[in-house]
Order: sequence, then C-alpha cells, then structure tokens
Amino acid sequence: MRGPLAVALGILTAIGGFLDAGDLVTNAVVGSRFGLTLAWVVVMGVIGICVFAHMSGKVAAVSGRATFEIIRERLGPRAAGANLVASLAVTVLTLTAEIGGMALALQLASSVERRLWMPVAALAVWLVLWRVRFQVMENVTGLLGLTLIGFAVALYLLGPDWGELARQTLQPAVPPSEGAAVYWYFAIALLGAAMTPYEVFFFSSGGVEERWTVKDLATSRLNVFVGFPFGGVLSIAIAGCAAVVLLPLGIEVDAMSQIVLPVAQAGGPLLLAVVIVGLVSATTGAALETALSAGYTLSQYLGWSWGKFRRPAEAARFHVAMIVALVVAVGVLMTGVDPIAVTEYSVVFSAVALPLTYLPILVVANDPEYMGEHVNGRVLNAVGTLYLVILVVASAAAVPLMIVTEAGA
Amino acid sequence: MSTGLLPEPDQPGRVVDAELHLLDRQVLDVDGEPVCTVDDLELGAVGDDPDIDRPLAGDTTVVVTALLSGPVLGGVVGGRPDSSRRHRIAWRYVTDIGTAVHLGAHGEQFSATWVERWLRERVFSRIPGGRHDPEADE
Amino acid sequence: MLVGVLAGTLTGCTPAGTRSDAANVLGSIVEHLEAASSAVATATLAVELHEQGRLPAVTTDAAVDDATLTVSEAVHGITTVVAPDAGTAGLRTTAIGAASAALGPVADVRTWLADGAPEGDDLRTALDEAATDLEAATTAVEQAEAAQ
Repeated sequence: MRGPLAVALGILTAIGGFLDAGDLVTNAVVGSRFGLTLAWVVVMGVIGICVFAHMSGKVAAVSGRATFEIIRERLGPRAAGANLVASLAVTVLTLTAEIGGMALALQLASSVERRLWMPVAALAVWLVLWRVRFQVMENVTGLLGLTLIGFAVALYLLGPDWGELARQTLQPAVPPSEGAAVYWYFAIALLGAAMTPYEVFFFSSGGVEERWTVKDLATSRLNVFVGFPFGGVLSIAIAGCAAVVLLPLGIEVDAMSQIVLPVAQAGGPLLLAVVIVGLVSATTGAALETALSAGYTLSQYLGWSWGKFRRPAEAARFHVAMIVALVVAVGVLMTGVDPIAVTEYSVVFSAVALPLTYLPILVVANDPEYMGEHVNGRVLNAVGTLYLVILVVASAAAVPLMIVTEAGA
Repeated sequence: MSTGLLPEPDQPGRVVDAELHLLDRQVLDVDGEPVCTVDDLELGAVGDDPDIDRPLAGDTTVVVTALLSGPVLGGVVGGRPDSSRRHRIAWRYVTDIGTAVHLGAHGEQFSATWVERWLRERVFSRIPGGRHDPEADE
Repeated sequence: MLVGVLAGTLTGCTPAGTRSDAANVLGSIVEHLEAASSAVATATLAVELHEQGRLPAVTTDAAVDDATLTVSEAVHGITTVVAPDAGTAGLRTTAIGAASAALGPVADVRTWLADGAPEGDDLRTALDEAATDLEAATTAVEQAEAAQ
C-alpha cells in the first residue's frame, strides 16, 4: 500500500500505538494527585521519543541492521552484554505490566476475575506472535488503540475550567498536598513511561521487519513526528480526566477501574465501552511489542535469525525467547502481585535504563560507516545530546528518589 | 590480534581492521539469513594449512583462517573460553565484509547453527503453524 | 548500581512498618487512612454513576472490588505498624476503628449491585459516615504528627 492512505494509516497507528499500560497508569495516577502540573514532562518525553525513534528508524532503514546488532558491534561483548541484561530485565518487567494491564482492562468488561484472564491474555499474545503478519498486527492494535481518543472526548464533555488546567500546565508548581521529592519521583516515572526503552528496539527492528529503505524515511519521519505528539495529547487527556473528576474527591488512583470512572461520568456506558476497547488494544499492542523486543534484543546480540517476517521454524530461537518471556511474565503475575504496582515499578526502572538504550543509538546515528550521507545533522545531534544529559540525571536520581519517597507513597 | 593481514577473497588489496570490522559483526549466509556473530577469530601463518594447529612465532605474518562463534563471556570469570566449544567457519567462505560479514554458502552447513536446526526440525515444525509463512496471503 | 537498584526495590516493596519513631509511625498511619478515604470516595462515585445509569454493573463491581481490597490493605497496614508509646497506640486504635468501619459499607455495595438491598440512600449515608469518620481520624493523627 502506498500513497496518502498509507501515510494516514501510519500516523493513526502511531497515535494508537503510543500509549501502553505504563502511560495509562502513570498519567492517571499523576493526574489524580498533581493535576496537570506534570504535563510538561509528557511534552518533554514526547519530543525525546520522537527524536530517538526517528534516529533508530533511520539507522534501520539506511544500514538494514537493527539496533542491538550495532550496540554489540560498537560496545563489544561485555559492555553490550551488560546492556542486554539490563534492557531485557526492563523489557520483561514492562511485558509483565502489559499482560497485567490486559487482564485488568478485560476485567472491567467482564465479571471474570483478573487472575483467570492473565494466562488467557498471554496465550492470545503468543498466538498473534506465532501466526499473524507483522503489518496486520501493528495496524489492528494501533487503530483499535485509537479509541483511547475517548479520554479526550470525556475531558471535553466534562466541561472543565480550561483556564485552570492551562495555568497548571504552563506554570507548574508542586501542589501543597505533596512533597517536592514525590513530585520529582513522578516526573521521572512519567519520563520513563513516555520514553520506554523497548519502543526504540521495537521501532528499529520493526523497520527491518517492514523492509524499510531510504525511500521510506520520509514516511517514517511523518508517522513519528505527527503520530507521537497526538499520542502525547491523549496521555495528557488521561491525566486531565483524573485531575478534573478524581482529584477534587480525594481519590488517588491505585486501580485500573478508577481510571475509567471519569469517562463513565462524562459519556456514560457507550463512551466507557469505547475506552475499554482502547485499553485492551493498547495493552495488547504493547504486550506484543515488548515480547517481540525481548526476542529482538537477545537474538540480535547473539546473531540468531529473528523476525516475524520469517516462518516461526526459521527463527526458532527467537520464538523460544519470546515464549520464555511470556512464561516469566505470567509466572510473576500469578504470584498475586498487584499489576498496577508492577507497572509503576516498570516505568521507573525504564527511566533508570534509558541512557543505556539511547547513548548507543546516538553514537551509531553518527557513524558514517553505517549511515553514509545520512549521519545526524547538527540540530538532531544537539537535541539528542541535550536529552542524553537529562536522561543521565533522571536515571541517577530515580533510585534514590524511590527510596526517599517509598516509591511515591 | 588487531591487525592481521587478510587473504583477499574478492577485494584484492583491502586491509581490514579485525577488531573494528570483524569482531562482533553479524554473519549472514548466501541468502542473507543470519548465521551467528563473530565472537572471535582464528589466526594462522601465511601459507600454512589452516587445519593444522601450530604455534606462531612472534614475527610471523598472520592471516585470519576462520571466524569463531561460541560462548563469548567465558572470560568474565577468568581464563579464555574453551576453543573446542567454539564453532568454526573457515575464512574461504567469506565473500564480503560490509555492515555484516557475508558468506558464500548456506547457513545450514555450519555447526554454528545446530541449535537452530535442532529446534526447527524437532520442535517447531511439529507445532501447527510452525512452517506457516506469515507474509503469505491467507 | 545493581545493589542500589535491589536496595531500592526492597525498600519500595516493604510497607512502612519498619519506621520506628512516633512521627514516622503517625505519617504511615495517615498514608493508610488516606488510601482508605480514597477507596471509600471511589466506591461512592461508582455508586452515584451506577444510579445515574452511566456505569454498568460489571464495571461498578470491578471498581468496588478494587476499593474493598484497598481498604482491607489499609486496615492491615495500620494494624501492623509498631507504636512506640501509649499515645501513638491510642491514635492507632482510633485509626483502626475508622478504617475497619469503612469495610462494611464498601462491601455492601456489591450486595446492593446484586440484590438491590440495602436501599441506595441508606448505602450512600453509610458511605458518607465512613468517609467522615476517616477524615476525623486523619485530622486527629495529623495534628498529633504536627505536634511531634
């Protein structure tokens, strides 16, 4: 498929695919406790993910090699191996959060207990990974995820005091009911949620899956730079809904069911149903992407054959890696751990791991051997370097803040 | 091991930095299928039979005789990984070095892919859909 | 770095039960009371939305199920805090009373959903009372905390 329709489809998929369990939960928690005073972090995170997703897509399109092959090539087996272990741990933790999120979202529309949904959700993810074509998988979950626009509709229907919301966004200040350390802890969590490392592995490997060439660069750039900001707008709408309805009632979000209450209040059962479809699709899409990312990183480091474009039997070890990741995720969830807590930890540990992912991409995007004439320009490098500094600071501060605030209590 | 003179399969006169251009590179077979990564290199004296293992004198000009694949992090706990546990790909199969190392033969013939082949034949071919081509129209 | 991450995880996962001095204990009790209040408010909102026909029974049930869990975890959390002196222990008893008293009305919501009893008005009155008691207990503990 080529032409305007393909461009539109790509953008819509990027919007729907932007949100995952980490974004949903973190934005709702933050909205219910801090209003929109942390919305600036979402804006910052969106710009960052745009810049680096574009860079990793470019590397994949120009060199035909995916990110982790190059990380290994440039950092050597030891440093890349340490990076692999950290990235895999965070990716599997994120996968756990997504499968938990799928179960919680399904529970909202059924009276079936969440722990019964978890293995079913993981099995469904595996079947899609086993059988469904990459593009079909991406487009279906992306387009259905677009129904999360329901949060923006709900915010509009709630008829909030827009001036107050704008003031919170543009003149952010720590709310009197919360401490400064907790504020910054959630700032880092939001950054981790928006810039989750798996998205970069997924984006570059997805470029190889879809056989991008230099010709596809313009399309990919458009998808990223238009689609992701709209995804960011939906993130802020989720926080806005929580800020308008839950914050005044003293409700601090600690469950998926609370996230949808403002939607029900604004639009009744119909809008609620639309949004629940969106929650299920967004978490399913992200579960697929994280499971694939686990397979991608391991296979690329070890030189195995990988990719959904191959027959499963021709990328056997890649499929084994994804199955193991799914089994681990379900195993963790079946211990009875709260999926929302898992999600909150996953975004903070994502923040810790961010520099590990983003530094090598910046280095490779400047390597003329891989990139030829497509090496980064000065502006892209300046922005990339600036973000790297921010990410290093956030990464270093994440764990101390977690200890001081008792994980945002 | 950094700069060995390489025999030149098809690019006469090209000198390649072994560390920069060979180590940790993805190896692709004649169809572009991944085979392994280059975990180490086997060196030998110019003109020697590559299949005979002989100690090298300090001033001998060496060439790469094979790409090695196998446990790469054995050195972390001390000592070098056991060379017998590594898989050899003789240098004569190498046709090109770009952003990946290209071979002129099928990946199936190398021992480096045995786990992949074993899983393929013993496990994955027997699960329904294991041989289904995801790109084919349903 | 790995040690730091592990330590962080462990610290993050342990409940505030390790705090020993009075101010920290009171702070921990306030956190649990606030969690219970948040859950009661959630149940109240869910009941209102269900009565208005905006929230289907199945989603109301899920919301109340989560609220029940939060309240019982808060009760458990307050109960397991170690009070260093008699004054703190007295406040803890007040807090346990307020938090446990909220369990009944929140649990009744699920009966109401299934059975229509108790009456919606009675249910909301009970939830309101539970919320007021929790707020009073929170204020009392906060005042003692400020006096420390």
